[in-house]
Amino acid sequence: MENTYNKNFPEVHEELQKLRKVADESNAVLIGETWTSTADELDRYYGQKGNELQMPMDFMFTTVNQLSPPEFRRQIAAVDVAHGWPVFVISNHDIVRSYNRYGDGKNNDAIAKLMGAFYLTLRGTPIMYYGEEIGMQNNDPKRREDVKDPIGRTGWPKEKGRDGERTPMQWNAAPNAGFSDKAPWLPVPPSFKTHNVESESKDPNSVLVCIRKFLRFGIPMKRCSTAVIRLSTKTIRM
Amino acid sequence: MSYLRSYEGKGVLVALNMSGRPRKAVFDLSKQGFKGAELKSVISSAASAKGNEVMLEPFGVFIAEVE
Repeated sequence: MENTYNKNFPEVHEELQKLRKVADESNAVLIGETWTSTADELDRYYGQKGNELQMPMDFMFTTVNQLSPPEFRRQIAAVDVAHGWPVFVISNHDIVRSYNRYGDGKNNDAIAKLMGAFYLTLRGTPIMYYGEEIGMQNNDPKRREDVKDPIGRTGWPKEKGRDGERTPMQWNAAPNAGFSDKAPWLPVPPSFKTHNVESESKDPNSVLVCIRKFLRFGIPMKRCSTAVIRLSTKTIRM
Repeated sequence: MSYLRSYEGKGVLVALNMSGRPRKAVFDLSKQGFKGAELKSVISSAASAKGNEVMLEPFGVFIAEVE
């Protein structure tokens, strides 16, 4: 479907400026799910006078679907060109989970830790999609009749839709991963037995324990990176 | 991939091995204002350091304070 007539209208920015005025009255922050193709497009969401969204998400980062330092460097440099505070995202409810996108099938947990370390330590604010912190994987439907997402129903079998990345949070190894004692709208993947909050909390080498360490370390770095105290990021080529 | 974040004379080095093979990285951060600096490991996963030399196992992570 062409999005010429339903996306990126110039009027959007006028409306965002109005929203920003309201937000400023309450000292609130505006975060945008801003799908953009270029750094210029992203830049516009901050507003020409910094008077639109304080935190438009950088989804261009999610277009890097392989562990490629040159590609990541290019994306980091691109968002640095934008005038506002970077907001990094590697997964959300519309794209295949990072655990699957970057995983090689053998070292997925190690890669999940690596990606956590990466975007939690960059200059900017990371927005974590639930389950990233425990290495949740996609659970795509196997049959058309199981698909809930309309995009998957109409696009089957080529397009399976977004059900796979929208399964319930995995709390423990109980049925339905402890999310509910009733069958949930979407089923959890078989890996819930090992990849859940309760089990991983007890394992010092788990993705969760590792991500918690990065968060504990990363949060003070973010605090230092406000407009008052700003850290710089330099990439050293190796 | 590696990067240095710095503020008021203090720095944090992040070194990431995005490959499935072990890597060794030697850091000379004098151009970044940290001449003769030592790497003090803060968090590591499948990585170790000796002096300014960092050994990263496949997909290893090394985060150090630079002083």
